[in-house]
Amino acid sequence: MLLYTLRRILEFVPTIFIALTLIFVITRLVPGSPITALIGNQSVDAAQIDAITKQLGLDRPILEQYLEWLPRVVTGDFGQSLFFSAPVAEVILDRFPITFALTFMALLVTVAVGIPLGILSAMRRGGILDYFGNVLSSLGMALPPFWLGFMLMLVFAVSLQWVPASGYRPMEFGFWSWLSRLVLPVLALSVSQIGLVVRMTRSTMIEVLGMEYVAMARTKGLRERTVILRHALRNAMVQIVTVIGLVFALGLGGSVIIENVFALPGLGELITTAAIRRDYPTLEGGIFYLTLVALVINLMVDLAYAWFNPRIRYA
Amino acid sequence: MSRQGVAPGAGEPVLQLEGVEVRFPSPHGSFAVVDRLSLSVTRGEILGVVGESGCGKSMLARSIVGLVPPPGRTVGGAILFDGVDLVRLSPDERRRIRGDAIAVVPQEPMTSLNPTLRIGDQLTEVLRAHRPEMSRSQRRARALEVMEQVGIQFAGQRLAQYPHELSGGIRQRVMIAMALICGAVKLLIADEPTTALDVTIQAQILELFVRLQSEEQMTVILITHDLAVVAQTAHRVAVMYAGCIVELAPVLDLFDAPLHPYTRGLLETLPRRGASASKSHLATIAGAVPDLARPPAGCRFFNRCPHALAGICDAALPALEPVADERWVRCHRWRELPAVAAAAVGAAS
Amino acid sequence: MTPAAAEATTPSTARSALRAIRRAGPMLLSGGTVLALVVLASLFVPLLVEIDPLGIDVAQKLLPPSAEHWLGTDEFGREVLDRLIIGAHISLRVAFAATLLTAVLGIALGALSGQYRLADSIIGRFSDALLVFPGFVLAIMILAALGPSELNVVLAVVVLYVPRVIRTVRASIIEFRSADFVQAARAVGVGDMRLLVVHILPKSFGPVMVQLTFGFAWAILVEAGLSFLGLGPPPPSPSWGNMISAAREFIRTAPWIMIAPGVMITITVLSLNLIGDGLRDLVDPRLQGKVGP
Ligand code: SF4
Repeated sequence: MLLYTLRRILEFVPTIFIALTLIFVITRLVPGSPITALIGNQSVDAAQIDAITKQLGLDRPILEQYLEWLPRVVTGDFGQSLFFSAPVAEVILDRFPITFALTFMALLVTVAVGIPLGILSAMRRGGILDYFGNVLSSLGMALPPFWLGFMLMLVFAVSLQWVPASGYRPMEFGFWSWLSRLVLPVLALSVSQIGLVVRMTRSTMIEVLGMEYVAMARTKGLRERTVILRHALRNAMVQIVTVIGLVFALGLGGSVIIENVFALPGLGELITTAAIRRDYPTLEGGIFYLTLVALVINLMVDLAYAWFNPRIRYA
Repeated sequence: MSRQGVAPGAGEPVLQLEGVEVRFPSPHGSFAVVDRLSLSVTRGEILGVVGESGCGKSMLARSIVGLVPPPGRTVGGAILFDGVDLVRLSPDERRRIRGDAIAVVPQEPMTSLNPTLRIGDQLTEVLRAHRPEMSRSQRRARALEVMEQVGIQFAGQRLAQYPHELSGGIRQRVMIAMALICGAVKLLIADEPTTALDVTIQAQILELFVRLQSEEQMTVILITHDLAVVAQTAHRVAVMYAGCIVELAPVLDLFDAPLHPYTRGLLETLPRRGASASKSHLATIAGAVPDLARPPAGCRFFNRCPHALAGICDAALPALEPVADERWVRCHRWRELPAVAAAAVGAAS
Repeated sequence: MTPAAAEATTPSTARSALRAIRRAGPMLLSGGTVLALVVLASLFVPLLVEIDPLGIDVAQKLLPPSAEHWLGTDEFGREVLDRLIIGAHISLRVAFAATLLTAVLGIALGALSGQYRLADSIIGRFSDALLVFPGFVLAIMILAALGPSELNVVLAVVVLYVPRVIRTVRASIIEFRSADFVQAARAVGVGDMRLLVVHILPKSFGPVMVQLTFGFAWAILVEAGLSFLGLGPPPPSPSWGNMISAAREFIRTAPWIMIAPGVMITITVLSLNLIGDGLRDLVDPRLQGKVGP
C-alpha cells in the first residue's frame, strides 16, 4: 500500500505540469493577446499598456515567458491581480473556503441521498422506489443547475422567505446566518449530482448483486443484511468511491456557476469575473487552484480505491 | 477407490423430492426448468446428476437450498429433508439449514469467493451465522482444523490471504472446507465442482469428495455435465433432460447397459479407450434442447433422438417407469431398442 | 446474471434482444417525439407565424402570460414565446455543430490512437490533460481566451467532449482488433486502412452514437451555462442561457421570463437523455452506468 501510494504521488507530478502548461498555452497562445482583450474592454493609455505588458512579461519570447512563469507558479506565485491590488494567491486563499464549503456540503448531501437511493433501487429493481429514483435522477441530470438555483430562490427565498435569496456571511456572524445562505446553493448543486450518483450506484450494485460470491454468501446461510453489507456493498464501494471523486470534480466545475447565481464570493465567482475582465493572472491562478483540488481529490479516491481492493493494494 | 455399485446402508432416504417444479415467468407464459421431479436420495450415497447445461440440474440444486434466483420460483412439490418439508419452512428457517446441514460447493471457486475479503473471514463467517456461541479463537481453531482435513497446507498463513493469491485447486479446497466447517453437514451438493479445474487437480478433488463422504457419513449430490466424473465417484446416477429425469440407475448398470437414447448419446461423447482424442472430442449430440416455454406434447428428446418414432414418441410424454431393480427410464421404446452394451465401459472402469 | 440463471434462459438470446427493444422502445419514442416537437417548432413556427424576437415594445413590457402573450413579455416588451422559439435555433445549432465536430474529430483521433502506438501515446496524453480540469472550468478558460461567440462555444464544447469519444472509439478498436473476423480478414490480405474503416469502425458505431446523444444533451447545458455567465453568443441573441441571464433582474417581478427558457432546456435535455438511454439499451445494456450523461 505504501509503495502504491508513493507511485501514485509520483505520477501526480507530471499531471500537474501538464495542467499548468495547458493553462499557460490556452491563455497565451490564442489569437488576440490578453493586451488587446484588455484594451477592448476598457480605456487604457499607452503607458499603462506598457506597464501591464512588462508586468505580464509579454514583451519576451513565449518560451522564455514559459520558463520564467513555470517555476514561479509552482511555488504558488501567480503574480499580482490586475484588478484587485493584491497578489493572486492571497485573493484565492481568501475565497477558497467558501467554494470548499459549498462543494463539500453538496458532496455530503449527494452521497447521503444518492448512495442509499441507488442501493435501494438496485435491491428492489422495478419497485416503486426504483421508479421514483429513476425519475428523480433523469430529471436531476436534465435541469440546468443555475436555473434550478433561481427556481429554488424563487420558491424558498422570494415566496416562502425561509432563507435569504443570495449573498454570503462569514461564520463569525453566527452559524445559522452562514448556513442559511448556503442551503439553496448546496441544494442546487446537489440535485444533478444526485442523479448521477443514483444511477452509477444502482448499476454498480446490480452488477455486484449478480456476482457469484453474493449468491455463495446466501448459500452459506448468511443473513440477508450480512450478504448486502459485507459482501455486496463492500465490492460496490470500490466503484462508488470512484464516482464520489468524479462528483467532487463536477461539483467544483458546477460551483463556478452556482456561486454566480447566489452571489457567493467564492473561487468560481472569482474565475468568472476574471474571465470576463480578462484578469489573466487571477484566471490562471484560480483555475490552477481548482484543478489542483480536483487532482488531490482524485488522488485520494485512487488510494481509497486501492484500499477497498486488495488486488491493487498488494500489486 | 473402495466403492460398490450400491451405497452402503442403502434404503433410508435423507432427501425426498416429490413433484418439485421450478418455474420462470416469460412473456409467453411461465416455463418449467424443473418439471414435477421426484427423486429419493439415500443416506450415505453419492448421487450423480448428469445432463447438458440448461437441463435444469443447477436449478434443482438451487431449489433444494431455497435459492432459485428470481423471478424463478419453486412453485410446487415437496422437498423432504430428514422428514421435514423444506418448502413449508420460513425463509429464516431455511437459511439456518443452508451452510449447516445442507452445504453447497460451487462450480467456480474463483468467482464464488469474495475478492475483497480474506479467506479466514469468509470461512469463519459461516460459523458466525450458524454457531453464534463460538468465540473468535474457537472459530479460528475450527477453520484451521477443517482446512487441514481438506488437505490445505500452511493453513494459518492461508487464513490471512485473499482469494487471488491462491491457486484454483486450493480455492476449491477452501470452498469444500467452507461446506464442512459447521461439522454437521448431512447433505453436500456439489455443483460442477471440478469443471473449472485442470485434469490432475480434478482427480484430486474428486478423491477428496469420496474420502470426505465416508469420513463424514454425509450424502453427496454431485451435479455435472461430465459422465467421466460420475463414473469415478458416484454410486447412482440420475440423467436429466429438459427439466425431467430420463434415466436413473446404479452407476455400473448405467455404463454397462444404458437404456435411454439420451444416455447413450452422452456416453458416446465420452472419450473411449483406443479412440484418438481429437476424434472423440468432436462427438456431441446433434440438435438443441427444446424451448421450455413451449414444451412438446410428447417426449422432450424427440427432435434429437435417433430412435424417435412419430405417432408414438410425440404423442405423449413417456413416464419414468421402473424397468429393473433400482432402474428407471423415461422412454416409450426402451424395450425395442437394440441392447447397446459396452458403449463406454472403458470410461466406466 | 449468475451462470445458473443464464442456464435457465439459454435459449433466449433472441428473447433478451426483444426485452431490450421492449425496454428501449418507450424511451426512444417519448424522447424522440419531444425532441422532434422542439426541433420542428423552432424550424417551422417562424415560417408560419410572424415572429419577432427582437421587436421592442416598451408599452407591453413585463406582462404576465395571458391569452395575447402566451408566455408573457420581457423587460423590453418582447414576446417570451417568440424568443424561446428562436432561442431553440441557437441552442440546438450550437449543440448540433459541437456534436458533429466532436464526432468527426473523436472518431478520427480515436481510430488513429487505436491503430498506431505513437499516435496513441500523443493523443492519450492530450486527452488525459484535458480531462484533468473540472469540465466547466476549462470551457470558461477557453472562452475567456477566445472571447464570447457562438463559434467559440462550439469549440469549447468540442475540446471538453472529444477526449471521451476518443476513449470510446479507441476502446472498441482495441477490443475488435484481435477478434476472429478481423484476423480472418487480415489473413486474406485486407489492408490496415480498409480493415479499420470497413470492418472495425462500424462496430464502434453503437457506443459512439450513444455517447454522442448524451454529448448533445450535455452541450445544450454547457451552452446555456456559458451564455448565462456572459461567455456565450452575445446578447441580444436570444439563446436560452442568455434569456435566463437577462431575466435574473426580474426574478421577483416577472419570474415567467426565467421559467420558460429553463423548462425548455430541461425538456430538451431530458428527451435527449431518454434517447441516449434507449439507444444504450439497444446497443449494449451492459454499458448502463458506464456511458452516461
Ligand atoms: S420416447 Fe421416443 S423420442 Fe423419446 S427417447 Fe424414447 S425413443 Fe427417443
